[in-house]
Amino acid sequence: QSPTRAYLAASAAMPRVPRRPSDEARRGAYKPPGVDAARSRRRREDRLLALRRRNRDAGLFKRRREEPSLTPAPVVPPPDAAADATAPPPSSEPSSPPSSPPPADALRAAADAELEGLSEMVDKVWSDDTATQLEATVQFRKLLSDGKNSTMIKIIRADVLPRFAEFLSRQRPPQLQMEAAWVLTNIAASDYTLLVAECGAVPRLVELLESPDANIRHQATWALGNIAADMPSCRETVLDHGAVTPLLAQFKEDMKVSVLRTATWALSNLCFGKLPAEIQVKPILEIISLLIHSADEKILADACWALYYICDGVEGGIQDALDAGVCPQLVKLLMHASANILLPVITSLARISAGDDTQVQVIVEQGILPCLAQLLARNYPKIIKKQACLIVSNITAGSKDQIQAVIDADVMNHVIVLLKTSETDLKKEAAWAISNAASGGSSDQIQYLVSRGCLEPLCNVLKYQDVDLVYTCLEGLQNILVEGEIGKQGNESVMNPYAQFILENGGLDNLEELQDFDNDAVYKLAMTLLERYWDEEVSDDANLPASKDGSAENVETVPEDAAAQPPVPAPSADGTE
Amino acid sequence: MSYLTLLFWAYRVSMSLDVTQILLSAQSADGSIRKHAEESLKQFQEQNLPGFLLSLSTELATNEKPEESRRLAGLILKNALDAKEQHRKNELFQRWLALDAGVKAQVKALLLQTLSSPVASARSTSSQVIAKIAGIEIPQKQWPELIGSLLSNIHQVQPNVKQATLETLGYLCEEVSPEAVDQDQVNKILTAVVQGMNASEGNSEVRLAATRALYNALGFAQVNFSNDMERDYIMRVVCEATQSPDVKIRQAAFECLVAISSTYYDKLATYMQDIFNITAKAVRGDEESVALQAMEFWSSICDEEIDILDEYSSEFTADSDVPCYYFIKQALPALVPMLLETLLKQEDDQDLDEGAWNLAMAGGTCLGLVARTVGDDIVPLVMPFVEENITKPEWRHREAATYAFGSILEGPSADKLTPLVNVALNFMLSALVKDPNNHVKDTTAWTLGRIFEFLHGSALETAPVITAENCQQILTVLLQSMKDVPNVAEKACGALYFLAQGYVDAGSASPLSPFFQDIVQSLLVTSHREDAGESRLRTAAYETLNEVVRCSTEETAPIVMQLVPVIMMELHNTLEAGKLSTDEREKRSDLQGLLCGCLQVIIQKLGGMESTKFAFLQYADQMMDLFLRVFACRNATVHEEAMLAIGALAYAAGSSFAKYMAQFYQYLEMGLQNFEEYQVCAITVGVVGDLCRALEDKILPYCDGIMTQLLKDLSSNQLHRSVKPPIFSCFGDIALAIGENFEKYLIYAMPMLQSAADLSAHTTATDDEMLDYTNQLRNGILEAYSGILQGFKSSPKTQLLMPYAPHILQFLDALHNGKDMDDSVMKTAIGVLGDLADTLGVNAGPLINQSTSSKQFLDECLSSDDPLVKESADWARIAISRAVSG
Repeated sequence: QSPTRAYLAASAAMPRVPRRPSDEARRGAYKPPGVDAARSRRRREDRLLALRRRNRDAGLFKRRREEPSLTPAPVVPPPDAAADATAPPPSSEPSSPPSSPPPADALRAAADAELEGLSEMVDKVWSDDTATQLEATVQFRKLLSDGKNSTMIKIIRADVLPRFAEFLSRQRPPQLQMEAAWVLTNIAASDYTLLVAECGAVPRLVELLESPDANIRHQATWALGNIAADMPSCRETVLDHGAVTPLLAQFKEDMKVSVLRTATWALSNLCFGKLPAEIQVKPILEIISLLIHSADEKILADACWALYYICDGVEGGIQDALDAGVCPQLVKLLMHASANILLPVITSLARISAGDDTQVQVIVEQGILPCLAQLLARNYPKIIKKQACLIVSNITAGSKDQIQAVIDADVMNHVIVLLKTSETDLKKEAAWAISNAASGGSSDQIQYLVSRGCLEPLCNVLKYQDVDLVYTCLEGLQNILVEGEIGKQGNESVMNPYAQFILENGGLDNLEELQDFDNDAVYKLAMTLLERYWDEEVSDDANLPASKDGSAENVETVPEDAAAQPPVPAPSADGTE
Repeated sequence: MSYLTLLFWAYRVSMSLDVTQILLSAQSADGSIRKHAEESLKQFQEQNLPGFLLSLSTELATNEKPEESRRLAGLILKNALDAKEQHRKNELFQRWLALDAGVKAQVKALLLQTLSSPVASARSTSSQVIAKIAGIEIPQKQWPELIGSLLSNIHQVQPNVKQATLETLGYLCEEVSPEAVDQDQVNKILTAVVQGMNASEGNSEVRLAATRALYNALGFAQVNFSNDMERDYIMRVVCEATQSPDVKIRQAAFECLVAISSTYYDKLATYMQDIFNITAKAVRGDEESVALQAMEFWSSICDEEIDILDEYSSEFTADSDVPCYYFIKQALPALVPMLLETLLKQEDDQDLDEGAWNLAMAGGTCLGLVARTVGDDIVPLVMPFVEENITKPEWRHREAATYAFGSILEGPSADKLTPLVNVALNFMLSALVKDPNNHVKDTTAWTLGRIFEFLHGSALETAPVITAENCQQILTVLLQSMKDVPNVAEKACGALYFLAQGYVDAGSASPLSPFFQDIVQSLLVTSHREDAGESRLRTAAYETLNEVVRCSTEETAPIVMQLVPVIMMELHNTLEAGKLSTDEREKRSDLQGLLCGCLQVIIQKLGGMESTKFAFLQYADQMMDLFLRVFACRNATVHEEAMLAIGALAYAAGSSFAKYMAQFYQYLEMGLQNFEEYQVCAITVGVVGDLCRALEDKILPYCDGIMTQLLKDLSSNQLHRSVKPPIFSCFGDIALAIGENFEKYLIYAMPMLQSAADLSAHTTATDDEMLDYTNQLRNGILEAYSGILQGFKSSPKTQLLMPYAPHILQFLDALHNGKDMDDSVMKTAIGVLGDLADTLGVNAGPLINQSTSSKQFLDECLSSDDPLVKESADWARIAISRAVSG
């Protein structure tokens, strides 16, 4: 008996005024009328309020999308690693997991210093009386809710985790299982997930996924989700104990949205990284193919990430995903309003577009191209546009029919605008898309690209100091020039028409500058082009240093010049149809 | 005797004769005498408050005075210290505290002296006044000797003093909050109260007063209930009091048990067996007033466990302070039979009496709560009772069986219930038509409604209860029952309401569509019944019509369109009625409210679909005309309904709504000025926002008037606080609509926003309600900032906002440091950061860089789990990167 501490706990909460036993309130509950004038009015008002909130948000959203006309146009954005990461690590809902937790022993040692006031609670946890155990477990859970690391360390130092793991196997009272799972969930959400994974809780939590009590199942799902969100070894522990099958069984029930969210989130955490070969992917995909129809954004986002992880990390994952029939919905989701959904969706599709030609054909047939045209044309975040360009470039790397499909959907126009106006990394993706189309396209298709004005921006790209980008661009130009040679044979004009165009637009100067470029492949390709298509110019310059040897000083100065002159975006890129 | 006291004494004597007479006159049957007396009292109070209070307390304290004048004196004293409206209350508090200390001491002494009076009503009135004064003074650390002097009374021999003192202690606990009283004094109060409750107390008046006092004192007993010995003692005394020979004491003791069940749920485990025995005995054998309280104990335990289990199954972010002890589950085998017994004790015609409350009703309500608490476990305990009784000849059995079945439909799983309902449905449908007893039919219709409410709808994964085969039969029965007596017809409407609601997500084809015309027709006929005023039948018919319309699909839109002129004609008719009595006017207002509500639903339905919008808007002129005439009738509810309907119409009509503005504006202003009926004001503020979005810059001509009124509303301390956050949001709506034209309001609106922001950033909320309000306020302020910033975007006058930028950033930083904002505030706040960068561009770059909001806060939002927060943060990040690098 410890009345003192009970007093402390009680006094922390505001004393509640006793509720008045009210006949009136109860009478209202006797055969409550379905139609009650006041309640119906409030409901109508609430609906109008919800509508109003949506409209207010939409109005603001619309205004935010409008480009500020007086603000200087964006130049090169600050480096932003987060925006460039395509696949985020698995998320951890209750709190973020550490990047690399120290090994278990070191943790215990580090926490040795702090310990106070816990001994009584610890004694109670180890007592033989279930009521006392429950009381103490609840106290631990409350203690943990402050989320402080110091508290966490003290609890870990008390070495009670195995005890809580043991409580998970107790059938009664049921709230003991519940509370123990709750405590472990919160610890697993901290920096010390590894300890939870190693205390023997995982197999029991997996068992609890089959508990008759829905709340306990939910809690176990949550705990396992937290554990799987941590480093690969934790995730493997969960997978090794066969969590996937009972987790999937959760989805077959009549579940609440909150539970469904947790389960979907946990599933996506389990799918992250490389799933072991013995895990059956098909049943997972069956569930995911249902979840991606959810109206709930959290569920939708997690389900789409899970899908991406499977396409990316499982051998044959792309085909399995296609077999599960996810494509139509995935393409539909491209028009989803939220960037949180759009990102995993488009990343998944990008992964699929990296598959073989027949796999690519599936997404083309599902109508991805008109969606991509929209995404590229409107003011979507850069990361989305990059993925969209990546998909386009994968499609233009395919057959002539596929290139034609891209042209027919009016996608190339937008890609060319991006090539003119966007930031370097996006420009690079656009260059790939055009270059691929140029290298695989028929002569009509190449003429189309040129007629749409792709040459000028491609030439401008040559000024950048990015080796890959410049090389890709040169390849594209080469393909176009080859096409120009064919045209030249038709008539007797001296000049390849495309070479003439490049010359007139200052592209030739850029090409000549590349002779000083600090990369052999670029240098050689540039030289080849100059010699083949503008041979008189090259012969003029034949005495220039033929190799980059000894020209290091020049290399130092060029990049600064080039980098200081980024292209200025056209005032209304979106207006050009 | 000091000079000062002498002075008051003389004064008192000179006034007292008059006062008695005036107080008696104030209760005269003659209206003019009464009015005159009331005037004199009011004048006295205004001209000489100290003298007034002293005279009244002297009157109350003087045993020779007539009982009637003493009681009224006490009542007026009480009213001079407290009022319902908060601002009036504060005023009275301040006035009392500002009084001369000598006067206050005199008044208090006279009041305490009255506690020993032989006249019971004088004692009782005095104890209430003492408690009011304690409520003002004790939180200010004044009157420290009060509790001590009351406690010394307890040892008096005369029972009347003891009784009055205990009563005073009880009122005191009701008026004063527990934090204001030392634990030491709490202990003494509880000791005195519990001693007074003890069986050894011979005087039952004293014991009753003590028991009632404990009820109020329970909130002070946190510490004592945490101490096992003290708690055991209190619980024993309360339980013993439930066995008192005095029925009032037994009832008061059970009221204490009920209060304990909700306040100290987690301390009850060891007493539950005993409490069950006591309550069961009372339910089965005691007088109804006692039995009802005993029943209430179990309902209250259900409430607690439902709350706890809800928290368990919610997102787990909310911490449940108390674990569930599953008392109901444990008591189930004994509890359910007890409740079922009570169901058979119905009174005749209880369904027709709105105020009826008896043991059968309480038992039924409790059974429903038990079902929600334990779910599936209740089903096998109730079904045998249902099966045994549902066909018996005596109507009480059939009704009880039906009620029992109806009450377990919420709580147990659909899997468990669906097979039972499939069997029962046909029986219920035929009982609704054929049972000879109205009471049985009423409960049957209610049960059908519950079936449709809980076991029908697209959210369920079990096999549907309503199929293509039985749908027509169900409708036939319900429409027929709508012609039955009003109470049965009302329940039939309720059943139809939930039937329609279940098809809200039915997509393009609802199974109700083939019957839609019949349904609408029957509901209109029902609303026109002569007796539709009984059992709220008319309301039920219209609200059901609303739900049927709301859940209808495009295929029945033509029928809804036909409804428009019908409802408009009805509204027109209400406006043509001649001179009406008060009663008739009230009925007319009710009907107008219902009709405006119905039009609102129709507007949203037809105005929200492209296929019907154009045709529907042909009615807009006439409809607006009717609404404007409705505003001429003074009734708050009708105004609310008409305003809501107009808001909906503005959305449907868009900028063409402008043509109504000239006429509508006066009513808009009237709504904004309605401090008294603040809901009308709140709804009107919302409608201003709707109009801004519909009219955009066409609202400009009305903005001077609207802004003036909104600013007045904000500065008023009479207006209910809940209206203020929407007013701030409304600033944002206006700014977004009129853009840089908002310039002239900046000098008024910005300081108000700033001071409200400071207040809301530095409020430490003491309870959930306060925190909730603070967050609403923050949200409103932030929405205003977003609207203003975005409104000025791309304007040459952008720089006018520059001076306000530092404060806005400070506000965001303060919110971030405060750590108590909710997700929706977080979303709005980080959006404002983006708007600031977006509108002010490079100029704001350095400021933004200095604020912590642009770093930690933004990072936190970027990694938020809430997609809306994250979306807002993504936008802010892009806007900032442009501003900072620009």
